[in-house]
Amino acid sequence: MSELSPISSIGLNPATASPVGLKPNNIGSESFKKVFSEVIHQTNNQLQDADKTVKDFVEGNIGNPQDVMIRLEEAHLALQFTVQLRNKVVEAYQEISRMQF
Amino acid sequence: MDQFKNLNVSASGIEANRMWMDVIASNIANAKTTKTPEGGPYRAKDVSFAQILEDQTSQSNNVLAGTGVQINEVKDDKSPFVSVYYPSHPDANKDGYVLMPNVNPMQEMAKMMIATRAYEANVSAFGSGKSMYLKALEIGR
Repeated sequence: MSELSPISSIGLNPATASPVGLKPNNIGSESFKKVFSEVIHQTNNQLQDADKTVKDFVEGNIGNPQDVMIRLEEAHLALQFTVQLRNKVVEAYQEISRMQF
Repeated sequence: MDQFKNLNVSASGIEANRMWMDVIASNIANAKTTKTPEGGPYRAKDVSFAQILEDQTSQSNNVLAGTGVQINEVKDDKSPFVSVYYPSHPDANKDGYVLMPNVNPMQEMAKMMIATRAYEANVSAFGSGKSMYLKALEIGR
């Protein structure tokens, strides 16, 4: 899973990601790029968290499997969400690029 | 994280029931223990659960919805020890009686079933929360 760490560098500047949360009332005031890169960052963090939990479990630092499974599920759901978001963005892009005048 | 709140609530239930199971296992394992650091036989232990209070930093408008559970305290069972006639036991007194722990194996087995089922229920709730989240992602498909 560690191959996933360069996911943050797909043309998005990580420096633009601020710790501002995704509050519904200020979505309009933030650039889409910023919001999207933040989501990617969060997903990436979650995947790395899951990675670390698995490592801890294998090394014997965590004794119970449910913690590992819960972290893995959360990372899985976050990844699904991000993939879905990406699909929508690509879809929108293709829709625009197919536009005829 | 807030988007996985119901998963975290179920996770706290899973964790609490696992800890309860640890206490029950300790009671069963020590059902015949006559020596403890405090002196005297082992005292049966039981747990009480407490709701995890919502932290004030999250701006949720329904405060009572979605709070987790945790073990409040592990308390000793104050019921009297069982005196058994057992003259060959190393801890027998001069009349041949031994004080045995106040663990009731039947009761412990029943609690064990409750803990197991509660654990399963929390796992099911976790699974339902997960499939609801995944279904929500299918809305736009």
